[in-house]
Amino acid sequence: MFETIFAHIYKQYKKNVKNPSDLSWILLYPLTGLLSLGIFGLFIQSGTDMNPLNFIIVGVIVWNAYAISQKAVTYGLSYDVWDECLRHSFLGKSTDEDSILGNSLFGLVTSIIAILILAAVTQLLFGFNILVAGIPLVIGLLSVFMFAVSIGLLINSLVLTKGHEWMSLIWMTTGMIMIISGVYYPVEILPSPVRELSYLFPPTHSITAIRGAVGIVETNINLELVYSIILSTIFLVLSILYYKKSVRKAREIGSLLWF
Amino acid sequence: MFAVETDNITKVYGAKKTRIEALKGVSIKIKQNQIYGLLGPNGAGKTTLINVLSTLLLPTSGKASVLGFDVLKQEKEIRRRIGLCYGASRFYWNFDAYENLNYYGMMHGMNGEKRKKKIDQLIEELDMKSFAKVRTSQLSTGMRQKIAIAKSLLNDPELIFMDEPTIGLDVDVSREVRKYLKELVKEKGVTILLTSHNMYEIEMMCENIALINKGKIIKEGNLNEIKSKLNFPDRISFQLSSYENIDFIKNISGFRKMKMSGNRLAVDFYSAEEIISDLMQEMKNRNIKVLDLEIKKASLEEAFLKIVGESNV
Repeated sequence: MFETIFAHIYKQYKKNVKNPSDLSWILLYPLTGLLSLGIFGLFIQSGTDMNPLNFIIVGVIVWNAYAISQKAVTYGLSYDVWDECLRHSFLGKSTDEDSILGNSLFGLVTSIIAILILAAVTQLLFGFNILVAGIPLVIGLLSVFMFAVSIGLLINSLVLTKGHEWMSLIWMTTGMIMIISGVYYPVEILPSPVRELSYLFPPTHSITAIRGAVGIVETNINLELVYSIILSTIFLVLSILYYKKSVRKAREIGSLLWF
Repeated sequence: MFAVETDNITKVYGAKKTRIEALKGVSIKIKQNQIYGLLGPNGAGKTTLINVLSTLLLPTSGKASVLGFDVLKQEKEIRRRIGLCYGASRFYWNFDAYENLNYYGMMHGMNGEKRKKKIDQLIEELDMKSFAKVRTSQLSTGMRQKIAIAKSLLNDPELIFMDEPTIGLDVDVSREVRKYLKELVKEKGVTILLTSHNMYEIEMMCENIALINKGKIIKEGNLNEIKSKLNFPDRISFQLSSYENIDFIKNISGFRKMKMSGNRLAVDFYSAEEIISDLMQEMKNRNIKVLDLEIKKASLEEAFLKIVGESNV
């Protein structure tokens, strides 16, 4: 009698069990929202003398630059996976390097456009001009862009070798970066060892440096930028090597032909 | 130089429990400037072999070269020189045919003017004008298949892998495509490795073929030779004015056997085409009138079923 209703429940259950990343809708996404806003609440409650509005605007703009750049790199592969025409993109003269560079450049251009729009809206609505950060803003965002490309390539590597279930990492990682890199709060408020972990991520240093450059926090801007660039470079080099290895692995196991 | 040369290629998927041997020591040599047929049932290993040769899949062991380049070490050289057309190919669904071809032209490094010229030429030659600006998601399987064929020809490839290229096409369009591919081989000297379930198609297009079953090449060579070796001769059935003194037929090259069937004489030859004029001349010399004549060619399908049956034992 209820089979026709159970059919839909069965489908949902099987899809979720076979694709553990779907469970992120039950656990990770709600936790991301709760933790980021909860910790932000703690930060406000602590009675900070920093300007919370400008503090958050810097975090949000940098985080968006990350998300847009990462999206460009991951969607470069996802379009092929969704449309089931991946194999065609591995023929012709185009190389892995061409693909990385082309998708990254698209990410760079689109994130610059988004930043300029956000900067204009921020100036208009909140009277805060993030562009006064100048060179540290450019270097900080460049580092975040490099890191976004790295994470994008790592996700693409997993999708290529393990299947499209791993595509949910595209959205999950942006949430995780939001929590760990202190978009809404200073990372010092995070409990150990999450705080120490956050120092391994370039956006943490870029956000701090840009906040320093606009006078919201006191920090050694140059040192933060150096940390950020060094970490991003390490991430980028390792992720390119891993991606190239994954393409070969995909040719070995045949996963290049799954999509 | 061979267009394709493989030496004992194997491809194994999965681990111990899920182990699948898709190719079991495939060795073939395909000369240039021809349409070479690869025929086999579903799951025989045809597509796996094409995937290995087009460098999208690495073999587990063995050696293979395509146009003189090693599939393991020189994939970039191979990829820029080949075309690949799969049956029931998919493309970016919200691009139209032109946009899809434009993208793949760029992937081949073709500059704007050259790319546009080539796409326009293919759209014209493959009769795609009516749907070139329609979203791919709205196209029929046959129309999408034409995009796949056009895509495989974009870079003027020296070698084209065609995996069931006429699947989904109606009879007339299939005939057009076959004609187009034959002309391509004749006029531009390209080589085509064609897989098909359609034995008629293979018979119409290929001079040389390989039969593959369960990951192994079970027969390779000239299509007519394969048919004759398998003892599937052509049959010439006569109605003659006289059936006396007809033993001379046994001395004609390629003779297999003859028997009377009702009022007709049935004679089996390896290749009826090659001897028919000599046979008719001999009949005339002996004043034997041919009242009726019928030739039944041995079909590849019969040969194929026999070979596959034997290889399954």
